[in-house]
Amino acid sequence: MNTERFDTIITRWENGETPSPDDVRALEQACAADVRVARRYGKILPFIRRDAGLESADESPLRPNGAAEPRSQLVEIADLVMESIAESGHLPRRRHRISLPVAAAAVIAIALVGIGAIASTLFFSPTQQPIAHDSPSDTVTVRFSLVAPEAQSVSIVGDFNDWAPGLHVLAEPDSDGVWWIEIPLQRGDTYTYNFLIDDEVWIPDPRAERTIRDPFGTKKSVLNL
Amino acid sequence: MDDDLKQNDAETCRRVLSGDRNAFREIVLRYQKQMLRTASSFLGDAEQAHDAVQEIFIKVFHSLHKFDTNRPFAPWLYSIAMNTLRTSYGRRRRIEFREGIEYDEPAGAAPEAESQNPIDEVIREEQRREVSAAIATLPPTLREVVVLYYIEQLSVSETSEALGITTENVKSRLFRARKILKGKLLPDATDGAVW
Amino acid sequence: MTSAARRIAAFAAIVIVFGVLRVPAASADNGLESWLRSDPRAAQYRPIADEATELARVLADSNIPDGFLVRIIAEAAAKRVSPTAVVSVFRRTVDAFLAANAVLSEVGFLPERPDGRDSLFVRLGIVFSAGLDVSVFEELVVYADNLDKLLTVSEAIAETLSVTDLEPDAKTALGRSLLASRLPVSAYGSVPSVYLRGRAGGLSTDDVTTIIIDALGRGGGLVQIDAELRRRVR
Repeated sequence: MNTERFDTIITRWENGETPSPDDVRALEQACAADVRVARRYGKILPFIRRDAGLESADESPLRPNGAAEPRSQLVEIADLVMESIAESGHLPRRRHRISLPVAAAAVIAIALVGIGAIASTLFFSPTQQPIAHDSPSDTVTVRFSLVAPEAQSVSIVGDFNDWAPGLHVLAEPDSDGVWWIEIPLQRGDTYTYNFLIDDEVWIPDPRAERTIRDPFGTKKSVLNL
Repeated sequence: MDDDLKQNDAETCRRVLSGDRNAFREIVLRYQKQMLRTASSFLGDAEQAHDAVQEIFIKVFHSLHKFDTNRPFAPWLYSIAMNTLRTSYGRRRRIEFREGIEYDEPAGAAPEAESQNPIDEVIREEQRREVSAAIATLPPTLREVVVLYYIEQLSVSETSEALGITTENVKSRLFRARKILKGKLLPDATDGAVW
Repeated sequence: MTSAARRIAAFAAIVIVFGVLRVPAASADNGLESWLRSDPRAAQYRPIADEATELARVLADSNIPDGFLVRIIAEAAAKRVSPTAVVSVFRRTVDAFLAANAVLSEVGFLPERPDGRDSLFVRLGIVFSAGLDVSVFEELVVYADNLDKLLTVSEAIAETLSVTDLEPDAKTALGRSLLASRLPVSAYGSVPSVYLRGRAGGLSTDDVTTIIIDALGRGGGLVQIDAELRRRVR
C-alpha cells in the first residue's frame, strides 16, 4: 500500500500547515477501507481533523469518556458541590501573603579549619568543629576526608565537578588511613556529592552533616555553603 | 461560544453574587460535562477527575466575586480548572524518585462505543487508550494546551485566555505538542513491519 | 613526600583545577540542551534527548531554571543510570517544579532575582528527588512564614527519609508541627538524628513522629523531645 501521500499530509500538519478538508476526507476514507491504514493513522487523524476545522465526533479517540459520562454521576457532582458551598457562610476572599525575600544563607553546619593562609579564601571541613572566620571572598575552600585504609583510590564526585569521576582524586593517606582533598567552592551554593572508592563503590560522606537519597535509589551527601 | 450562552452565564453569575446560592447549581450543570472531560483528559484518571471537578466548581464559587461578568465565563472557568488540575496532577503523581519507576498507565477506560463491527470497536478502544496515554504523558504545559484546543475545541485565543498566555505561546506549544504526539502515535514510517 | 609538601602539592592542584570548577556553573547557564549537544557523556542519552529538551523548554516556559536537570543527568552519567530511568526522573522533577512554582508564586515566595531562582530550584530539586512529595510541600507552604523556613523544613524531612520511611501524612504532620513550633530553624536539621536515636532504642517510626509532634505541640523543644525519648526507651 502506498502511504506516501498520507505521510506527507501528516508531516505538513506536524510542521504547522493547516490540512485541507479534502486531504482529511481522503485519509478518513482510506482508514474506513483498510484496517491497516486505520491502525496506522487512526490515532493521529482526530488531531488533523481539528486543525482542518472539522468537528470532532463523539466516538473520536480524542473523546476519552466525558461524552458518555453516566447521568447519575453528573448529578452527583452538582449535589456534592452544592452541599459543600452551602456550608460556607459567604463568598470568601482569597488569602494573600506578604512576599519575603529568600534568606541569603543556608544553615552551615560544617566546620572551618585553616590549613594555610591565602587571603580571601576560607577553609571548611565537613568533619571538624566550626571556627568562625570572615572573608569578603565568594570562594570557600572545603576540606573533605575519608577514612578508608583498604582503598586503592578515592575520588570525590559531585555537583561541583559536574559529576566527573577522577577530576578530584583524594590525596593518599598517611598511616592514619585518612584520604583528603581541599576544594574551593562557590559560597551560597548547595552541592551534593559522593565518594567513589576504587572507581566502583559509591558512598555518601560518613561525616557529612546531611545525607539524602539520590534520585536513583542510593544515598549521597549534601553541602550547603 | 454562542452569545446566548454568554448572556446566560453572566446573568447566572450575577444572581449568585447577589446572594442566590442555588443559582450556582445551573453553572455546575451547564459545565460539568466539559469539566469532567477536560479533567479526565488531563489527569488520565476518571476517579481523580471526578474529585478534581468538584474542587474546580468549589473554587469557582469562592472566586466568583473576582469574575468580571462583562467577560466570557468559559475561559475564566477553564483557567481555574487548569490551575486546579495542575495541583491535582501533582498530588496524583506522588514523587517517589526510585530507579525504574515509571508513570502509572492512565486509567483511560473509555466507555464502549456503539459499533457495527467488533474489530472496529477493538481498534477504536485501543486507539482511545493510546491517545489518552499519549496526552497524559505530555509535559503539563503542553498537555493543557492540547486538552483545551484539541479536546475541548476552544479556539487559540480562548485557549490563550484560559491559560493566561499569549496566542503565540499557544501556537508554539501546539507546534511542539504535535511533534511529540506524532512521535508517540504514528509508527515509524520506515518500519516495514507495519505493512 | 612529606605531609606538608603533599598538602602544598594538593593545594596547587586545587588552584590549577579551579577553572574546571566553573564547569557546573557554565553548564547551568547553558542548560540541558547545551549539555546534551556538547558534553561527551551525552551520547548514551541520545534516545531521550528530544523529550529531555522538551522538558527543559517546559521549565523555560514557566521561567524555571533547568540547572537541576543538568545536575541530574551528569550524576546519572557518572553512576551509569539508564536513559529510561533518567527521563523518568526528569518528568517527575518537571512536574514537581511546575507545581512548586505555581504554589510559591501564589503565596508570593518566588524570588525575583534569577540567581535566587537558581538556588531555590536546586534546593527544591534535592528535596523532591530525596522523596519529599510535592503534595506535602504544597500543604506546608500554607504554614510557613517565609521561604527559608519552608525550604529548611522540607530539607529536614528529606534528610529524615534517608534514615526512615515516612507516609505522606506523617511528613505533612511533622512539617506542620516543626513550622508551628518555637524551634529555631537551625534546629530542624536535628530531626533525622531523633529518628535514629528512637530506632536505636527500639521505637517505631510512628512512635518517634508522635513523640516529636506531641513535644513540640506542648511548646517544648529538642530538650523535651530528648527527655521523652529517654523515658520511652528506658
